[in-house]
Amino acid sequence: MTSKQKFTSFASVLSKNIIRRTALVFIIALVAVTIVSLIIVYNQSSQNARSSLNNSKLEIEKVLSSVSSIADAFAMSLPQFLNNDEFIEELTRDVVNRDDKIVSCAIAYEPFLHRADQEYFMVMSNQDTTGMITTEVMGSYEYDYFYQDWYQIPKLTGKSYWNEPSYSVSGTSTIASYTVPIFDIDGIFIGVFRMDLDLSWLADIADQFKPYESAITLIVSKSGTYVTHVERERILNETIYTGPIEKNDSKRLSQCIKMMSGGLGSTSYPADGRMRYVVYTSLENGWTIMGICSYNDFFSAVTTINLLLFTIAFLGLIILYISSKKIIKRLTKSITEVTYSAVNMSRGNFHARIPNTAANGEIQQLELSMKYLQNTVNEYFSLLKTATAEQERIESELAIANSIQMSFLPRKFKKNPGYDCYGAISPAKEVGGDLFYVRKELGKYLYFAVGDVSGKGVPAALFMAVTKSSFNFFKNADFHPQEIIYKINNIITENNSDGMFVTLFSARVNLETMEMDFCNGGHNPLVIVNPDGTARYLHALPNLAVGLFPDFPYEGETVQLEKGCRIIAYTDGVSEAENKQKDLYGEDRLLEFASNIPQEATAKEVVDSLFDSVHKFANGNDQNDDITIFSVNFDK
Amino acid sequence: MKRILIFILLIATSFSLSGQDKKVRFMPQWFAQAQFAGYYVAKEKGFYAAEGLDVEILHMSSTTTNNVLDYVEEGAVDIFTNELISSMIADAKVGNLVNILQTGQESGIMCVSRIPINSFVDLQGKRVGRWKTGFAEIAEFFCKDFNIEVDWVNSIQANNLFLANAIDAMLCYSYSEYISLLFAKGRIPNEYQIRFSDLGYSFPGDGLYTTKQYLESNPDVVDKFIKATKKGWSYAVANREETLDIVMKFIRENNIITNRPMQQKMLEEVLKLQTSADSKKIEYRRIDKDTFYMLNDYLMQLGYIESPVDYNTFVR
Repeated sequence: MTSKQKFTSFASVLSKNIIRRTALVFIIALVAVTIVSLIIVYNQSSQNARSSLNNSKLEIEKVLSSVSSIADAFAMSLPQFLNNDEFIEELTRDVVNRDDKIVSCAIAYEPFLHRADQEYFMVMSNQDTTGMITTEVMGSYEYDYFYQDWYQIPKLTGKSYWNEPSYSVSGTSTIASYTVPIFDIDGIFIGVFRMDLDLSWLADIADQFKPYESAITLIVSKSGTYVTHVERERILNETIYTGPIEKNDSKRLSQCIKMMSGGLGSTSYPADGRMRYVVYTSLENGWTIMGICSYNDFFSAVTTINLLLFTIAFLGLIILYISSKKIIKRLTKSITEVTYSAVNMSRGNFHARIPNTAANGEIQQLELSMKYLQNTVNEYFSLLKTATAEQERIESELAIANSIQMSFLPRKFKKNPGYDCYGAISPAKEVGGDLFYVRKELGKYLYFAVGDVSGKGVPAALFMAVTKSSFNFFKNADFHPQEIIYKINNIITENNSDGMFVTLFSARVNLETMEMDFCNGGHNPLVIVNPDGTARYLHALPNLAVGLFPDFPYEGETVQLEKGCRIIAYTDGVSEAENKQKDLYGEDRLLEFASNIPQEATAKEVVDSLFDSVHKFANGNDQNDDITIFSVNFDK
Repeated sequence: MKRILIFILLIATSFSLSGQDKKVRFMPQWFAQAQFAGYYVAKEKGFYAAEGLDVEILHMSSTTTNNVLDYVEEGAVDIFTNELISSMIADAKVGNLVNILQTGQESGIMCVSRIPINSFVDLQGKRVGRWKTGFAEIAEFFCKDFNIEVDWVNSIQANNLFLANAIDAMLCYSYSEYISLLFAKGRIPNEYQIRFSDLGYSFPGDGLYTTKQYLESNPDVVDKFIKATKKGWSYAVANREETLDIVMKFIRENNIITNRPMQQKMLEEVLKLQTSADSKKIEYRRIDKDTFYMLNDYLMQLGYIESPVDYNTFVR
């Protein structure tokens, strides 16, 4: 956890997760309940609306039936009174007079039927707005009723017919004509009986039984013309198809065509961004009555139920959140305490108190595990402390040993007449097994030696100390290097129970003649840099490493050096230095180095630059062997 | 005396007239509707007045069985619209009509059926509604050519007969009865309708007419009337909504049962029939002589006229 992250309690996280999932379940349940409720309520509301619509239908049809039954009965009896003008006029008056809803009644004959010289004969009684009934004989060239649809339809179909609604003669009200064909006793068509029904009562009856208070009831004729409508200007002027055709709404048009095809049904359509639900049924005269209900009319119950359910669910979730958080907090109190202990431990307090929980199961397991971990960590730290102290002691001792070892070796070099020398050791560990020795001018001689004990570390260091000390036996006498190595070999071999050995190169240079006597006890060949800068390895008999066999007959050799030459003695830590690719520094690279030594370089500069060259070659790779370099520059 | 009772509705003019304005009595051949939009616009926008004409637009009653020629015969009308063929028939009788402007390049006559039809031939023996006042001659030309006999049912308007299933089919104009039927049925599939122009019977339709006597005594008035009328139709093309407003005003004044969407469709169709198929522009082409002679032949063969109508005197 980074310092920027906000701490969120386990109880809070768990509670929120529970609430999220519970809320999801509630939402799914709410959706399911809503869908089921919508279906049930839609069916119920449709049923209610249809029932109301059916009541309107019955009331309307009661009026229509009374008109049609009167007209049918009179039309049937008319042929016997065909030429009784007085009776016919009285009849039309009587029909109009018997019901306020009947505004006019007419009887029209076929041409020349009434009299041979009278083409038109139409008797019509009208009731005006004051209730006065007037009767007149009509029909003329200008009002050629034979070509009026109210006359032609029953004539052509032979059936009674509810005509399309129209304005009354006064133009103040809407009427519908019911026309009945009149046949004589031979079944020959002789005229039409017509009753005009005022339709102002229609809207009242339709509204009286409308399914919901805010619902709208409409009645349309067979041709879709509005017979009633809340917007009066639409009555007779528009049809149910006007809107869909104007808006080019094919779907709505299909719905309207279906509604007009008769029967009982329901449908819905969007209007002004809300759904409208329509129930419709056809009347006996072919007209259609429909109730248009809003979403609220149909689904107010669902809205109420949903609101209630939502409130319950919302409050339930809040209660659930609070209670679950409390319960979880109580249950996880032990975890919290263990967590604080763990945090203390992580800050270094390994003796922090781990509480004893009263819980069982996983929490108890956690507590026990934490206690076990605490004990283990404490034990480990105790051991680590002891080990660290021991390590520090060893390191201290090794540092002292290193100091002592280094004190064995020549440390002060200064320019001497005839030569300049310098040497240095870099042990691979705290102490090493390499050594070099130089003894200045015993008479005209310069003695020096370089050695490398087998192995590394403390044993090699002790062996090196023994070897180095052995040279002290010869520091005041002029021995040939061969004798020195022979004697040292016997000294070492005498007490060498571990079979260790040391390679050793010992030389004695006559500073006057520049002859160098030397003996090589299994050591790396010496590098000689001639005054002209060319470098070469000194060929020497290998003999055998020192310390292996007593009285081994080491052979000595002599070589003539030139004034102004340099010699470089070294241990295999130089030639066998490795880089990360496991390549060796090698003798060729060493010879190349020697060939490039500047003329004016001092012995120290030669030694330092060779160390530098080896380190650069190793390129950070660990030094795996002691490195010793000793160089002498002879004056010209 | 039987023709005394005529219902002429006087359209009140909305502006006062100067003493020099020539009074002109104009009557369209049908009730107030978008079919005559150009004349209403010319009147309302003052195009007639600008020509010095005081035009009265007269309409026949929606319940009358008369046609416009009855009013012409009574001398109640100076200039009127009428369909070409019925005008030729009338001229053959009285010999005093002059076509002064041919507005409709195509008559728009068609047939709507209750049974699917590929051609008018399919209505052999069926009851077909037509207008009592004429306008069915093109269908009769077809029947004669194809030896078809249908049971014609004359009526003032056949729409309700058709909707009541009293007839099997009816003739109608694409800009008038057809649109009423469309708004009464919702849809009229293509297989239930056919245009006579698609059957090869394409003839000019509505035109502007006067009598020879009126033309001889008022040639300037006729020219000015034509000029203002053309301007009215051009304005109607460019200003459809305003034109519809004007049409609806006339409709309300005449208590005609209709509505604006229906009139909008009618206006579009009427303008389409005035538009040349080639130039896609409204054109007032003089009646083609060959077409005129062909109509003469048809009308004589059907007995509508006894002698041919004189093209030179009939077409100005």
